[in-house]
Amino acid sequence: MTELSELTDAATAADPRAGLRAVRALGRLLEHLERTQVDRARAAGWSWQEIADVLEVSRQAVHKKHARR
Amino acid sequence: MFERFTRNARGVVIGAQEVAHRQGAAEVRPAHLLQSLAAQGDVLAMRVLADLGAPGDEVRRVVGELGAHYSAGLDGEDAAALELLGIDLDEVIRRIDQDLTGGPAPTPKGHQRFSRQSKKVLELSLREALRLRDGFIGTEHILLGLIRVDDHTVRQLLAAFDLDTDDVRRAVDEADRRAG
Repeated sequence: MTELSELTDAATAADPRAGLRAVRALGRLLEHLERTQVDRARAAGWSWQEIADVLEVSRQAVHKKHARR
Repeated sequence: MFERFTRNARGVVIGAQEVAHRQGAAEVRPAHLLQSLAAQGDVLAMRVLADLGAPGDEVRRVVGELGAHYSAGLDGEDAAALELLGIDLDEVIRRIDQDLTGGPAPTPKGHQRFSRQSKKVLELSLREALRLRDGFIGTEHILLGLIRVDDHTVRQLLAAFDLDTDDVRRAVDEADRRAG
C-alpha cells in the first residue's frame, strides 16, 4: 500500500515537523469533510441520532459540535 | 432581508452562487462571496480596498491564486504537508464538494445553498449596516461581514496586502461617513 508507506515515511521523517504538519493538515481536512457531510445529511432530513449512529459517536456529541456552528 | 440589499450588493450575492457553481462547490462559502465581490469592479467595497493599497486587479489576482483548499479552511502549508502523504488536497476537496457516491453535486445551478458561514456573513453585513445607521446593505457592509466572520480566505487576502481587520473597518467607517 503506497499511501501507507508514504504515510509512515512522512510520520517517521528525520525532521518531525513535516510529519506533525501532516497531522495538523489531516485534522483540518477531517474537520472540513465532517462539516460538509453532516450539513448534507441534515439538509437531506437526517436526524442527529441517525448521523451519530453512522459516525459511531453519541447524539449529544454530534449535536453539541454541529447544531450551533 | 434581500430587499434591503443595494443593486451592487445583490450582484455580489448572485455572483457568489455563480462562482460556487462554476467551481463545482456544494455550497456557497465566504471565499465565493469574496471572489464575487472582487469581480464587481467599481463598487464602494473595492474602492475602500484600493485606497488601502489593495487595488482590484491585485485583489482578483491574489484571490484567484488561492486554491480550492483555501475555501475549505486549509492553507498552502497544509497542501504541502498532505502532498507528503500522496494526497492531492485540491482533488480531495473537489471530490468532497461533489457527491462522494459519484452522483452529481446535489444542488442545481443558481440554487447553491449558502454555507452557515456565508449566511453568517450576510447576517453580519446587516448588523454592520444597522451599526452605521445605513438603511441599506451595500458592498461595504458585505466586506465588513466577511471580515467579522473570520474566514481563512479573507485572512489570507488581508495578509497578502499587509492589512488587518481594523484597517479595513476604519476605512469603511470613514468612507461611510463621507458618503453620508
